[in-house]
Order: sequence, then structure tokens, then C-alpha cells
Amino acid sequence: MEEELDVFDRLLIEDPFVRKQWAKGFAEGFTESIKKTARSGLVDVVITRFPTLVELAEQRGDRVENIDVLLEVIRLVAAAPNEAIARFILST
Amino acid sequence: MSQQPYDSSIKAIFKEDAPGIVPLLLEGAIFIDELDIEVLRPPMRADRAFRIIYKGKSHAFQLEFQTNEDEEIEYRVLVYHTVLLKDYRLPVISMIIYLFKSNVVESPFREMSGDENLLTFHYRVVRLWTLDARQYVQAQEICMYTLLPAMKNADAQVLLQAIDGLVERFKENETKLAQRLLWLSTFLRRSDMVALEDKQRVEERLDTFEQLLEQDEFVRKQRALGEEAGEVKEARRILVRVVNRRFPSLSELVQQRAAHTTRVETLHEAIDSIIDAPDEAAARFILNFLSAS
Repeated sequence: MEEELDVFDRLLIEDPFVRKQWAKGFAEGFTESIKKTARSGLVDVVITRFPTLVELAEQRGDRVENIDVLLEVIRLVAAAPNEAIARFILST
Repeated sequence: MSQQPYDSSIKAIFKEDAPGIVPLLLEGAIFIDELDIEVLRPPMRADRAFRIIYKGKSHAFQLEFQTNEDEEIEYRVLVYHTVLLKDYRLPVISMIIYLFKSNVVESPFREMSGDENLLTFHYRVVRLWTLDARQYVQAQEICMYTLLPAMKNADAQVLLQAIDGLVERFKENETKLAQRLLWLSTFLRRSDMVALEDKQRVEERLDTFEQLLEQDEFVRKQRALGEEAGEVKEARRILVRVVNRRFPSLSELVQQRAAHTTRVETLHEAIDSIIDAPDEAAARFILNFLSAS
């Protein structure tokens, strides 16, 4: 059963500072979720193309904080002509 | 934003400061303890109730807070009054506190049957904007400081002095200091009793406590709720994208199902399952299961 918010809960939830904090959380959650998906995508690509490099891919994914870098790594690994190149990309 | 309720920190403040606040609101009252308001099921639940000694006798003291005009308030307060009277068998003093300027109800409330007066209900009304902020600061009534911005004479000098008072009083308890500063800043932003220039000066001072305010439990919970909402939004987007890529005929279905799924874990499980789904029938089953779960 959903409780009715009391007058003070409502005041706080409507407060611009609290709303800003919620929005900050939203942005963090959204970005973190993209990162998680990209990390998982990197591992999926490596499992398919170079299964021996999965552990390396997981480590690389965990190290990268910048989503653009992560997407670039995925793109490069997907296009890597052989395992040695893929290993180099994942080790960089 | 989520409407999920939390115990707002001002409840803790009122609980802790009730011995100080109650006599300020009801002159001559002596606080005894807080009464259980859980006997009233929401939404019929009083804001606060206390056991007090008033004029030498035990009483229940019921507080109801209002932010704006509400035609139903007298009826609600009457219900709370009656339930408290029934449960505690004490005379009940009911008080409505208007936090911000608005039209207010006037005591008593009368229930009439033609000319016959069936019931007369007397209650107290406090308009915060008629109380003098300066007096509370002069008297160092720290328990009232969070409410000061809603009072008259709440200028920068008074409010900055109040902030200093709070910092001094709670210098060894950052949690309590954060609670009180958060409330003071919330009332400040909402109130129209403080001149704009004064408001800006006080906000500048409050800005120096931003990191502390971010540690407040309510603020952290709201931030966590925001984070969860962000994750859900992204997970929904991915689910829709995966389904559109693999099974375009299920495009409409996935839009509907994703929109109604609020748990991020469920969405992630659905994404994995759709990636592994052998055919469209299996994917449809997963999506239908999603709405049922």
C-alpha cells in the first residue's frame, strides 16, 4: 500500500537542492548502466572472436571509466585481424 | 521523481526538539512524551501528537502542518482529534500550523443541523509568518531555527546568526547539523518572508555546507533513487534496442513491457534472455513474462 507523503516529505522532495541531487544520481545511474553494458559488450565480442582473451577483456573493461574509450576498444577489437592485435588493444 | 515515502529528517528533529518546541507553540504546556500516531492508518494519520501537561492536567497535543490552503483540513483534524481522544482518553488540544502564507481556517468548526448545533470543535491555528524570527534568535530557541525563514523579520542578519548558532550547537554532530541546515535551506527557498537580497546572502552561506548537506540521509536516499531511475532508463533503452534488432515484429510489445518494468535487475535478465532467445516465440514469451513479474 502506498503511503501518502506527509507535508515535510513533500517539501523536501520538491526542494531544488534535493531535486538536483536526484538528477545527479539519475545521470550517474544512467552513465554507469551504459558502462556496464559496454563492458559486457566488450566481453561478448571477445568471447565470440578471441575466447582466450576473455579475462584480459574483463580487466580492460573494469579499468576504463570513459565510455567513449570503452566503445572505441570494442570497435577496435571487433575489427582486429588476429589475436595478437586484439591482445595488444586490450593490454593498452 | 519517486514518490516513495521516507521518514523525513524533520521527524527526527521534531521528536528530539519536542520538549522545547511544544511550550513555544502552546504557552504553559509541559512536554511529557510522544504519542503513537501509527494507530491511525495512512492517509488518515496526524502529523504529530504528544502527551503534555497543560494547566496542571494531562492532555494530548496534536499538531497538523499545512503548506497551503486545504478545505478538508478541519475534517481531518477532527478525525485525528476524535481518534486520539478515544485511544488516550485525554482532552486533546489540536493545532494547525500553517508553514507558508495562505488562507487559513478559523476555529471553531461547527457541525449544524439547521439551527441545531450538533458539534463545536475548537482548535488552535498558528501562522508561522506572524511569529517573529528575531525573538527566537534573541532567546536562542535553537529548536525553532529551522522554521525561521518562514517567519516575519527573518532577514539575513537573523538567519546568518541562526546558522552560526546551529553550527555551534551541533559542531560535534554533523548528522544533526546537516538535518537542520537542510531544513533551514528548504524553508528559505520556499518562503516569501525573506527579501531576495537577504535570501541570496543566506544561500551563499548555506552553499558552503553543500558537501555536508549531500550526506544527509534523505538527500542520499533521493540520490540513490535517482541513480536507480537512471539505470532503469538505460536498461529499458537497451532492451528495446536488442528486441528491435533481433525481433522487429515485437517492437511495439517491448515498448509496452519495458515501460512497465521498474526493476533494473529484471530488465537486465530480460536483455540476456532475449539475446539468447532461439526464436520469436521464445522472445514473446519472455516479454509477456516480464509484464507478469
